[in-house]
Amino acid sequence: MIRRLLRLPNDDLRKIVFVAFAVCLVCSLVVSTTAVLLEPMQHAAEARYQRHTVLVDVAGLSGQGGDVDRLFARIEARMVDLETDRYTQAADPASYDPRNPGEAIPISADLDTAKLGARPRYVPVYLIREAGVLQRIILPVYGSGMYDRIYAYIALEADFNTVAAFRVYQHGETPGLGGEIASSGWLAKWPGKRIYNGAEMPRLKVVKRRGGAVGDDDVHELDGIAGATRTGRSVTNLLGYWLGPGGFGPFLAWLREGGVPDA
Amino acid sequence: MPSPTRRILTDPLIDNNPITYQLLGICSALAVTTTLLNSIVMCLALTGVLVCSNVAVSMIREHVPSSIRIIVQMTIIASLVIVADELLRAFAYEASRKLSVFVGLIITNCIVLGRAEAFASKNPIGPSAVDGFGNALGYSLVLLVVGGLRELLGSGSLLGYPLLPVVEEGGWYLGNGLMLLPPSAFLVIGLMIWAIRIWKPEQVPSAEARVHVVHRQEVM
Repeated sequence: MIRRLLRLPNDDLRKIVFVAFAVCLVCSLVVSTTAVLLEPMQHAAEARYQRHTVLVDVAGLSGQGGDVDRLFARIEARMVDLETDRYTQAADPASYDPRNPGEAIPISADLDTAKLGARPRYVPVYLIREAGVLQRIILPVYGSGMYDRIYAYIALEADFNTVAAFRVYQHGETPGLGGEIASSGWLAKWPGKRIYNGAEMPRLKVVKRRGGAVGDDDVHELDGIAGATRTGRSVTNLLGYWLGPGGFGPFLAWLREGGVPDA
Repeated sequence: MPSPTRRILTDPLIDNNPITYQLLGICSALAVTTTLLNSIVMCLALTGVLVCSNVAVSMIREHVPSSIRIIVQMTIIASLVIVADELLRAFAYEASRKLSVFVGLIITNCIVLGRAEAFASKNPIGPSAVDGFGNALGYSLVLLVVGGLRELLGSGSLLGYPLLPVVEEGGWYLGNGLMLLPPSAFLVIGLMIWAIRIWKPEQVPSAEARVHVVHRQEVM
């Protein structure tokens, strides 16, 4: 049957359909086989990159040189129960996957600025100590962007208010516009900004500067990216959720009031 | 190696280089050459895709109806590019993040379709593979030179190892920021083409192929 089709002249309609079909079939088999075979390796590579490279960088350890695995070992991972706003032993930080965070708890609409719909119960935080003294705490944050979720880490100083570093590690924003949220130039503007101003609600915002004037509220405002107003708003919203009362807000408030970070 | 095969392999290096002579595949040459490592990864990806696509296209060349040959070639190339992208994401994750969309854009790289259409669809498998490899080498040659120059002059390093100590880290070299932006690749490629055409004047286009000023009266 196949041999008969191959013997047909090349401009025969039956042969055209057959060749087109055969090429598509073979190509799709090749593509899907590779995708399925490589998926576990891609997942591992991505998780490794995200956990190790990004976390070590946000932790401020990458400047110290040395092997990423060794630096990563200096970061202490703890799970936080967002129901009780305290540390918990009930879940393992290493098993946490932001894209598949397990038990989902619906978020009430008035709090859901990041448009997530639901959140996990247990979320990891990462602690960095220098000679036993807490230096930074890193929180994983994510929320809806223009086309895809934006995933990031925010590191806070030991006052649990000043930003030490912010790093977007995955997003689907427009390259060159919103995609600049992952660029080192923009991320370099974050350290030193403050999140709260006494109240429970986070104040930190990505704003549009007019005429380059520095506002009165400089420590709570971050210069947005030209051409990426909606992306900037997404970042504001996802921080608003995760650092607010629905996310890490009460936990951070407890830490600020002297809650034992080791308990 | 018989000399016609050698010719197929070495011709695209300088004499018929896809970038500096045929001016194809410039888009990726501009975009990914900020560092040498990115250039190397891009070259490997393109080499794999080009050799495999030439082999595949050559393998079925007798049976491809001419009315659908371009779409057949594009399907093969697109599948190979997806495979290359998947491989990079599994084994060179950080490099694939840096190259982002440009690996996918190999599909639209005129070099790949150009070789499939101009060579592989008319020649047996062996020479087609050699032709694909030769053209990939020609492309890689340019990309590596551009990537190396841009990283060295822009960041003072090669493959991440600092060669010229930069001012920010207490050295003397003030990195040339222009070299990190895409237009500098135009400058470097332009200078390369100029140098090659001084060395091999036969590459200079003939008088009638050259751009020339048209006066208003001539048009009317």
